[in-house]
Amino acid sequence: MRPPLPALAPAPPPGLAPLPVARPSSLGSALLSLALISGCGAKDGPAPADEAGDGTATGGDGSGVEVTPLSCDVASLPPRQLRLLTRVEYANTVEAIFSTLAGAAGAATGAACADDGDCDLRHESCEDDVCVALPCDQYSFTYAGSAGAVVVAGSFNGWGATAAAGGWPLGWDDDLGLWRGTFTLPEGRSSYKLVLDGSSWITDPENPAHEPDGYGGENNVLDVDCSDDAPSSGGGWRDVDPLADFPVESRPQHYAFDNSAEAGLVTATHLERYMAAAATLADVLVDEQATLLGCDPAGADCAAASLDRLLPLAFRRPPSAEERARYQALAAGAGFAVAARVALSAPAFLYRSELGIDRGDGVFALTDHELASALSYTLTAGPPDAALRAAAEAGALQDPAALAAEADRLLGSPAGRAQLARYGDQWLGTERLATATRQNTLYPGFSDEMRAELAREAGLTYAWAVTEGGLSLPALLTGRTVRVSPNTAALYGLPTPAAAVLAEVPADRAGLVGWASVLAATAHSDQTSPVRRGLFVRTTLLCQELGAPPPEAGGVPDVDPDATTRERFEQHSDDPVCAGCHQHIDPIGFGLEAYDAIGAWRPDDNGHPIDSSGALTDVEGIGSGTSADFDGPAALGALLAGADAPARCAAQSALSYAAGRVPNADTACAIDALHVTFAAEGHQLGALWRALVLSESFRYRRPSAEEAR
Amino acid sequence: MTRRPPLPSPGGPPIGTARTPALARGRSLRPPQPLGPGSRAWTLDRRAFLRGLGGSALGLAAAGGLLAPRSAHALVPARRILFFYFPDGVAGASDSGEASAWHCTGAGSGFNLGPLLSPLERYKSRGLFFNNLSMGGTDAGSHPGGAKKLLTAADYGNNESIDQYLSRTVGASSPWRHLYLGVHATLSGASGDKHIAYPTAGSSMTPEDDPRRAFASLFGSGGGSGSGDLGESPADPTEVSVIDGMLDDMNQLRAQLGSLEQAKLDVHLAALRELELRIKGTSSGGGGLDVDCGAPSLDLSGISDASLSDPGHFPRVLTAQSQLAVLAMACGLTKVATIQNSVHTSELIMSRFEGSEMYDPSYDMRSHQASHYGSRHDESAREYRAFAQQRRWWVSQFAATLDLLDAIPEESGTMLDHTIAVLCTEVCDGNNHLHDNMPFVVIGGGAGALRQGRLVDARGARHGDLWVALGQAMGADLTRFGDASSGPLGDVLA
Repeated sequence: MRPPLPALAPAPPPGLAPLPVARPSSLGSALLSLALISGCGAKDGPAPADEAGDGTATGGDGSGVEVTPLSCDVASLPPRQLRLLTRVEYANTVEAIFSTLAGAAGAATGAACADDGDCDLRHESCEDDVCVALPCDQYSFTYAGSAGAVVVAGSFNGWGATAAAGGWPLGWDDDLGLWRGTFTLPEGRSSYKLVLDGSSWITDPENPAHEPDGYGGENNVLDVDCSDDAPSSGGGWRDVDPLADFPVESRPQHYAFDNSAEAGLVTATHLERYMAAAATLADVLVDEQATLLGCDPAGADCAAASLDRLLPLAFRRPPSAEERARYQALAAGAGFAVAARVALSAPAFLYRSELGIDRGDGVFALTDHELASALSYTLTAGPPDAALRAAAEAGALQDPAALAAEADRLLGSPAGRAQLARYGDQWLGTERLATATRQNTLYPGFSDEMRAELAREAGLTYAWAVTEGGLSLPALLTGRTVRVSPNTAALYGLPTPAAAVLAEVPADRAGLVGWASVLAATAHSDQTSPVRRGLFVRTTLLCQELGAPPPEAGGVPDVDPDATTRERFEQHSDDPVCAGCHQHIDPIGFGLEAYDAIGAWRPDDNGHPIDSSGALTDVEGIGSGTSADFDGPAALGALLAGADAPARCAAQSALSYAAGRVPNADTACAIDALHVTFAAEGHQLGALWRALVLSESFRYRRPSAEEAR
Repeated sequence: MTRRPPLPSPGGPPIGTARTPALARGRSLRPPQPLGPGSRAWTLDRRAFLRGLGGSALGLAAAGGLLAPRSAHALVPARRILFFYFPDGVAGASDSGEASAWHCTGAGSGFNLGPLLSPLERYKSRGLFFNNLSMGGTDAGSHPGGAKKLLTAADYGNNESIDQYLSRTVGASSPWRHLYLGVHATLSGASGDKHIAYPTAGSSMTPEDDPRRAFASLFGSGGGSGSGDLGESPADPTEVSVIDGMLDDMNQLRAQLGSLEQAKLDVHLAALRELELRIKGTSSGGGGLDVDCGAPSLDLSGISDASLSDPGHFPRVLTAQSQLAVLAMACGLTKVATIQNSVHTSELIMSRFEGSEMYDPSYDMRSHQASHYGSRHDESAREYRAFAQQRRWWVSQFAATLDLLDAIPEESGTMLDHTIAVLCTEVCDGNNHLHDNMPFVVIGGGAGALRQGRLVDARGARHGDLWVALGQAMGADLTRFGDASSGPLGDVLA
């Protein structure tokens, strides 16, 4: 699976200049030690980071090769590892392979989109941020040239050259900057032309299918076949549905994301489903070998040529000579279909390789292709596209400027935005709203539609904030722009929009803590939860893990069912054993009590007036001794925006996600370094992602614990 | 093949057909019987049967392999083991000093069930109940710590779990080494500490929550043409080529990587080996019970995508998963199954179970919420009343699964006599989270593997010792398991 080692002795990858990674500050190290929760049931917390934080590369193996020293100890790097594709990554990988093979010009059904322009305009539209195929008898005509009026004239409308004569008029789309119109076509073959300004007949530049018009020119043709209810351009590969069919990802405790490197294990259930999917996919390859793989299956060399097309895409790198020979032999013996099935169930397909090549000093640098995959899977949850593959082939990604440019390109792409949205939903835990339930008598407005919209609110708002929004983290914590939807607008007291829209929410809802999705995701089905809301701030926004209740804590004391939520939870603080931790949790949630379990403002709790005075203690780490009172999410957001811990925590979350691992004491230096760069960039969220992919822990690996043994 | 009656329908587990305790106990005195067709009609064909003999744990044991002589009279290994997990503990001894509502009183064979165990009264004489069985004190007695320790018997889940261990040892020749079924156990974002099966130290796996997918996997989506027909058709040469190619690929990779990612690739390779056995038809079924495995039916009506998260559908899904586990075992598809009901600190709204005594559409009572019932067992308090009802409901669901096992004849008894069913949860008392006095129950195995009808005083022994005993009862060569394990728990093995 690993590409053959280069013939030359290990050397620093060409063009690798020292990256502008800031030295970790002693402040950052101090913060990490503050994150230890003393006297609060936590065990085995991270130890303070290496104070110097400058463990230099120890290239003392006598090789004499000079390498750029790392600014953090090698232990701060993620280990060399194989990372099982998540279900989303698998789906995107298959989609990319088949789209590439099919040479599809447009985006693929199921791809993420911001508007129709991100989809295959002729066959798809963008619905709820996903490209959706038009019905099989519909076609969307476009014309990007200049004209005063454009109509479609054809066999289906009597060749009317103007709208008045029955021609189908296209409308000008300001957003996309072109003429377009979607129409229903009759079954079978239609022929047509475009007519500009009522007189100029031209062939449709977007449609390569022509036939002679009988007058010495050419007409465009379109074939409609809805008989088997399958789009003619569609592929059987879309029958593979990993999200529905593959096992749910396992996530280690304290790891919010679905891409854990350690927990990504291939159990028998996984393998059975992978093999079934591979069989389906291989069937498509065999059935459409001529079109997808570009050779006549009857030809002598077709299997070999097909594998040469397939393997680099499936493995996200060129196959080694050994692999190529083995797969060729397999195809020669058992047939191309078997070889394709093996390739599409192979470790090189199922895992992302992060093994790297030893620089000579015990630090392993990701290869060009590994780096391309790390970049694309981290930022788009999919494999490298053609441009990124080309950059990897050329060795260009070892240049930090080129790497940063690719990161920016991917972040702004539809797939990048979709992944930012998934990241946001997993980071903030709002994804759980997708299956949430509410007590109907208390929240009759909590419809399936509201639930679905709430489940996407935080992620989509975050994706906007990172890209077009250009927000900094403090702005995310205090800003008033939220993506609201028809069923969620009322939660903010806003008028109902016709479709999802970015809107200004009331000032007292400013900041992400005031988002309805965040407030709802941290509540129960029938009541708010000051504990959950407090823990959300402590663990998700401040990265302070609180331990389990100590054994002597005993049970929760008896409660008065008629009391307010706050009164019931305040009993935590009456018990000194509980208070040790809950003094740092509950008062945060108390400050959000004016918002109910679906994130709407409420005038009372259980018929009692609401006391929503809260306190944020020890914001820079338990034991730091600070405390600030606040009332409401906007005030809490302002407190957080003025603190340093949320920025370091945001860096830690992104770094953990990219590495697929829960951070530990050794990781502190890497987090501090990213934190410092993030701060230097004014805490711009986009800059955090760019700094992340330039960081040492993104590009280098350490030997695994097994190897070290 | 002759047609055999289908499994009992979900609506009415055949409680009335359960053997009487006296008969059941009597059977345990019979001399060990060889694994064989006896007078029963066999589901598998003769070829598969012969393979089964050769590959079964008993076959190996007879050859002097797995079964080291442990006592004077040979133990007859149980053929299957089923772990039935529910979340958030029980109403143990309260903080104000009331006695546990779960644990039994008495000693040895003279004991009374705790009130919450009342649904198990009919299995009392065929079960083992425990006092003072400990999971240790580490990790502050929390829910996550308990769930990690539960089947691994090791702090922080730093061990393979007992179900996974048994699946790759005594269960390795089965087409499905392990069936891990969940009920609302993988709702979005459920973290790994919530899942109790560990294929390798430190990493749990996720269960299959959808009985429709699990059924399709085991029996083929059409039913009858799927893998349930083991041995009826020769191995497909294409499939054989594919799996051989995959094994080749994996071996190349392992040779390249050496010790790197070894644990991960070991799990992957084990999966390949399991699929290889299935594809090449060399698995040993060892089934042959009186059920129709050629065209099995399972009532999946009413189960939709919404059922996988709507709390009102939970009982329906659990019934299907239990039936599926029993069906798979009866058809010889697996020897080891784990049913995970929800997850620890469960948000499952059990007050939405229509038809149960907990049902209250106007008030949401969650499992974890009820578990913090306060300091007293006060039936007039809403939380405690709900908690007691919920715990009894879990026990009744376990009993319904036992009913399924006990309704299928096997040799001169029932499937339950050859199956070990374990009821378990991750903490003792749900309110104070402690890990001492774990409320486990073991029913079945009465055909010679386990003692029956006893209250076992574990005297503070670690629960890994119980897993050792049950592992030995399954024929595994197991002497220690997990932390502070010292050997098989006394009073358990027959």
